[in-house]
Amino acid sequence: MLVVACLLLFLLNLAIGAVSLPIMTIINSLVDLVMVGPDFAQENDPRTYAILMHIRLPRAFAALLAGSALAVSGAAMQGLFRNPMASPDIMGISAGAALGAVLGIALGVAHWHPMIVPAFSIMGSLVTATIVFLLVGRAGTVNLLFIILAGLALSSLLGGATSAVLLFSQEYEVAQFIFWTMGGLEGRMWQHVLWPAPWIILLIVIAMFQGNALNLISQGEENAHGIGLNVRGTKVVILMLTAGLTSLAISISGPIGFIGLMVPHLVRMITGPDHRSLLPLSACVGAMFVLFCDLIGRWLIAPHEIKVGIITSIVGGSYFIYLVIRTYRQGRWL
Amino acid sequence: MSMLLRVSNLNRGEPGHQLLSDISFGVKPGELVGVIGPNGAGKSTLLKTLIGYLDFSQGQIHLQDRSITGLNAKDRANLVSYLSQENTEAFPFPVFDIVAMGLYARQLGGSDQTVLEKVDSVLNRLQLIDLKSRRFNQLSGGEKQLVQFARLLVQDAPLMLLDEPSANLDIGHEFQLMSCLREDCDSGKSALVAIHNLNTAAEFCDRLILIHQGKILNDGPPEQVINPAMISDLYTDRAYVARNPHSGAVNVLPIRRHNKNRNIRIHLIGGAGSAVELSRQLLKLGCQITGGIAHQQDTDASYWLSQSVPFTEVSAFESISLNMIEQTVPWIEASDLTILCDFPIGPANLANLELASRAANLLIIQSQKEINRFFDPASQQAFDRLFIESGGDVRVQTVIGVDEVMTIVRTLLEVVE
Repeated sequence: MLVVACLLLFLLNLAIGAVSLPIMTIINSLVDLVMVGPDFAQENDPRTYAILMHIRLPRAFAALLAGSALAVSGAAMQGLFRNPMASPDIMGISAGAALGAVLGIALGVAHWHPMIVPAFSIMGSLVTATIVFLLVGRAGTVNLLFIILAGLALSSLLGGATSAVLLFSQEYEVAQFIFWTMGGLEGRMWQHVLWPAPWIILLIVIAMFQGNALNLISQGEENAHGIGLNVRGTKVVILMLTAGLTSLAISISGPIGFIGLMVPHLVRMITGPDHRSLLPLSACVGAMFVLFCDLIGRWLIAPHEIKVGIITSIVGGSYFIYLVIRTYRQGRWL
Repeated sequence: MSMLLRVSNLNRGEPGHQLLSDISFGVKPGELVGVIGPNGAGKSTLLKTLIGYLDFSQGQIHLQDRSITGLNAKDRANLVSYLSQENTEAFPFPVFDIVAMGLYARQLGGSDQTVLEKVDSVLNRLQLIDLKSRRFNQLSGGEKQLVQFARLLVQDAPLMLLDEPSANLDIGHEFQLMSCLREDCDSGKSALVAIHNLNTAAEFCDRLILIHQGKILNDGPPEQVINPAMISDLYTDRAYVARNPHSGAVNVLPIRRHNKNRNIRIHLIGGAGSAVELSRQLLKLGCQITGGIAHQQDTDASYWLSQSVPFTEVSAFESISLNMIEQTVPWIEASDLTILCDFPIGPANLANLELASRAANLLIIQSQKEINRFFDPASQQAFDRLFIESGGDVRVQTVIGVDEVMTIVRTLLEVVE
């Protein structure tokens, strides 16, 4: 059912926009494309083909990939930290990506190629993740509290650096950066999507096998160790998976807020805390949520657009307030 | 017999800051071993090191003759299971799922029927089957602890390590948990249990290992390890080491000391435990009390002894001599009040009535129990004579119970002070 809903949202995403395309036309064009070949599809219905191939398909795929990557890493992070309030950028990855992006923009190289900012952002986040791992590796054991503190410290450091870079930037560069921080899918092209896609898919597949381990971790690291889990190994794997997925997702769409925090919550409320189902369902729901928010963003004030990050933040923020009130009323931790 | 667990010269920490130093011991199949020691002694550190969760700087740990450092996580978990003190409430898993997690290392190959049977049988054994589909966060503290214990049992390892398993349990559930461990050990498994409750440890364990500041101070049967010197050195000087009269196990009993700050002296003539409750109430009030004449090992005598109440005593079954009476009379004369408690009277303690008759202000407790207090008619006559002979400046008053005595004492206190 979720897959059907996901497909439907995907098709709606292709259909709705500045130019509305009937769903049947889209399906025809896609069938032509897959069954016969791109040339035939282009000849058959050049307008639909052009809109689909160059604008809407890459954009929908971007939403799909970013949404599922962020949601899966959120679910894994919450499981690892045994805390439903943990989120994927706990290691300072978003801050690293932001510094990378602002450097790309401020160095004036951003307009050379549409891949410059994504490349800079992923470099920033991977360097940040490496620094966290080096710091943690120094300490001997993988102490999760230490990771949180290292991540916080690094976030603040990188945030300061980002502000400093902005201070010396041109006004339009600042505007460009602020736009980037909102997280958006507009103008995503195949080149944005195609290279991270295999990595994201690979990491998500690996993550799917961590469900059992995360279940055991929820019983406490010492207990999990006693049950027979390689706790240290599991922690490193999960941290690397989330670091990778978050970096890749941010390189596609910029930092889209609240997906990693909120989607796993939503899924947990429906299916319970078992990570063996939580991880795949989070991937699905995460993809749907971003597709849905992007749809709303394009439809609300069409032909203008609201960036998807704004929609997710508004929806996510309201949901979070609801959660806080609910938790407070029930007098318990969610 | 080959050891399930063999620890030799285990050290953890750096010189100058040793968390564990030179720990050596073994656990044989069938043994239930308690690890005791005051807070911060290193009990938890020892257990965590033994399962390989914490590193050690020196020494060796062998599980069934295999070094723990050479075992992978699953092989290790098939040899030793562990129940920690951690908070396990991260996510509200159903009870069944949590218990089933104990089967992780067994690699049952997804045969759901086997999992179901194993989990059900453990839940049945602990009488938790009704909780099977309840969410963990909806359980009481004790139920949570038992569910975690069920998870440990389902793991079915020959050696079980438990860190304070009964910390959240009431006495009934503590008994249930320890009995389960006892049963498993009797059928050839072993357990090493860090435990604070010395009485539970003494009751259930074959052997106790006493740890203090990361070192083993003693290792042996409970009767040897738990002794007055150890208790007062490591724990408190306000405890009394005895035997549980019902199970025979060594027992540590806390004793509250009272301030004797009220300006009133009371002498108690008791026997057969008749003065214990009254003595306790009077001490709580702060009265200075003396006692006697009691027979050795009589309950009253033991109580007065452990509360350092001055009293006179004679050997068990010996008749009270005139000499003893003369020895006690000065106390009675110095007392503001003498109380003759409700004890059975016979030839052996008849002299206590003589003692009572010397009191200027005597209170006789005569409860309305339908039990014959008197061993023979002579005893009865001697008792009755107390009332007749009293006269002049001697006041005799009969009361029914402790409450009434306390009322009188409080009135007296107002007059005296």
